[in-house]
Amino acid sequence: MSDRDLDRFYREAGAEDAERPSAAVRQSILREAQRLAARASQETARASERTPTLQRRRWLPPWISSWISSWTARGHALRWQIVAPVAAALLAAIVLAPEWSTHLFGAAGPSESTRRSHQNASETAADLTQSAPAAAPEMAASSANEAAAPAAPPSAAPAPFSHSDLAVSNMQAPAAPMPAPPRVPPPRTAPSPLLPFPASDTAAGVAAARAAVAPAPGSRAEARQSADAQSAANVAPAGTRPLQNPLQQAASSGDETQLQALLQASGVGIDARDANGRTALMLAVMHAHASIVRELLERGADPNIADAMGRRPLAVAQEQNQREIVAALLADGAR
Amino acid sequence: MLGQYAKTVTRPFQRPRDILVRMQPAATCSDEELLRCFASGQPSAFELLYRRHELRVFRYLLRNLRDRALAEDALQETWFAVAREAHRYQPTGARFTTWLFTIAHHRMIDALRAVRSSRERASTAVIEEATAPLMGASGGGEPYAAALAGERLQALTRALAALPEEQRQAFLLQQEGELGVEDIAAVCGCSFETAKSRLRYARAKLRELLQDCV
Repeated sequence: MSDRDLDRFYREAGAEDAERPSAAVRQSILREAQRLAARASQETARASERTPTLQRRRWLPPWISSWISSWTARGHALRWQIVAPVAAALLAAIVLAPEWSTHLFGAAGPSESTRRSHQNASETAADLTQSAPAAAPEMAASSANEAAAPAAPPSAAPAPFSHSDLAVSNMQAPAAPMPAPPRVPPPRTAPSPLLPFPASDTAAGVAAARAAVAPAPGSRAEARQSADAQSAANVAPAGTRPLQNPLQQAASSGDETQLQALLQASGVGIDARDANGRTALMLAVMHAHASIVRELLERGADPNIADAMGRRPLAVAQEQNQREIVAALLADGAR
Repeated sequence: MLGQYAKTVTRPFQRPRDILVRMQPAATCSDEELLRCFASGQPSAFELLYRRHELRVFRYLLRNLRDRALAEDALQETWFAVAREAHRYQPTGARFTTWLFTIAHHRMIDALRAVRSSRERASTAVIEEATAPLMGASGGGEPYAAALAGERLQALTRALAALPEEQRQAFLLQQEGELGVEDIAAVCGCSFETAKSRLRYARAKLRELLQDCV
């Protein structure tokens, strides 16, 4: 029996088969089809009813009108396909309009007031640049004179320190106020793992860092004084300088006479902190002024106040191997 | 395609779908055209389509399920699905016959699963009673076998019942649906080679079983 015989046999045997689906099944299928067809024709009629109203665009060329009609006659879904992108584009334009206007008008030029302010700023910058080289030696000289100057009388001591005048009295001698230092870039120091604190933030930090890294020329006190003088010459910008009160400045510079005068004045906060959280005692420890440390401890300075980095005076003194200061701090209950 | 219709309205910028709505389906239209006419709202197109394929689909279902009630239910669900999904049919995808027999095949599989699950739930006695119509082709005393007229038809029905399920489906799709091997693979959801081998085994076994009848 070949494949062809099998196919012929199947056809002939199938022709004898009288089995048909019942009439009820056929009727139910055709009835359902009629129902669905009626619904489809209603939808088509609704779509065609919308078409004439859309074709009344006499002000448009016929081909554009017919194109719009052919697209919109497909129903609401297709109409939204057109409306939705347009709405999205409008929304995007509203959101991005400020950005675009900034770019466009910024390229065209600033307004009159903006141009004036920019001009004033550039003139100020030019003045500062010209005055900076001349001001730097003056600052260095004045700082050196302050370090070597005799003690000022107690009557010339400044008024009790308050935080409100920190900005005014910042890095200025209390008796003879200096003109505001010009803005110059902060001294750039190479980062070193030996630095006890960030070297770029304060002039005192620069001095201490240089003293810690470089070998001391001669005695340690001389090294500190030279470092202070050098740091005073490299004045940091006002924005980056730590705010120190006169007591802290005297502790940093090792000016014992001025320190005593300030401590005798009433209202001086002996444990006041600078912008880096360092007390006068901490500054004296950092600059290895043992006599200042003893004086401050005798006056009741707290030896356990940590700075902003969490270091205490005893830890700094041990780090710098200042045995005398360590002994004084331990005797006063430092931890 | 449009030449087979009597155009009633000719307007510029008119979509083909609108033109089809206003045309009457003819008996010479292809299956795909009739289905499109029905999707645009003409029930007469569906009736033409149904009368063309009613018997073939019914035989495919009946010879697989071997139960008239189940086959009629599956036939009804198959054509309901065709009517519901007519607007989604894309003539570029597959032939209408392939699409139709795919639906019928899925309905048949659903019916078989339902019968098997009910058979598992029922007791042994009930199972024998329920499966008696399904096994009707094996003997001459069952209702379905009694309804068969000719001797050759009985032999064919017995031979088909002896085939494994997948081979029987492949053979009936080829005979009733006039589908090729590729279409059979698409309907059954198997690979081309699998469909081909199923068909080959089915034909070989049928030749062996029906050798005495020729």
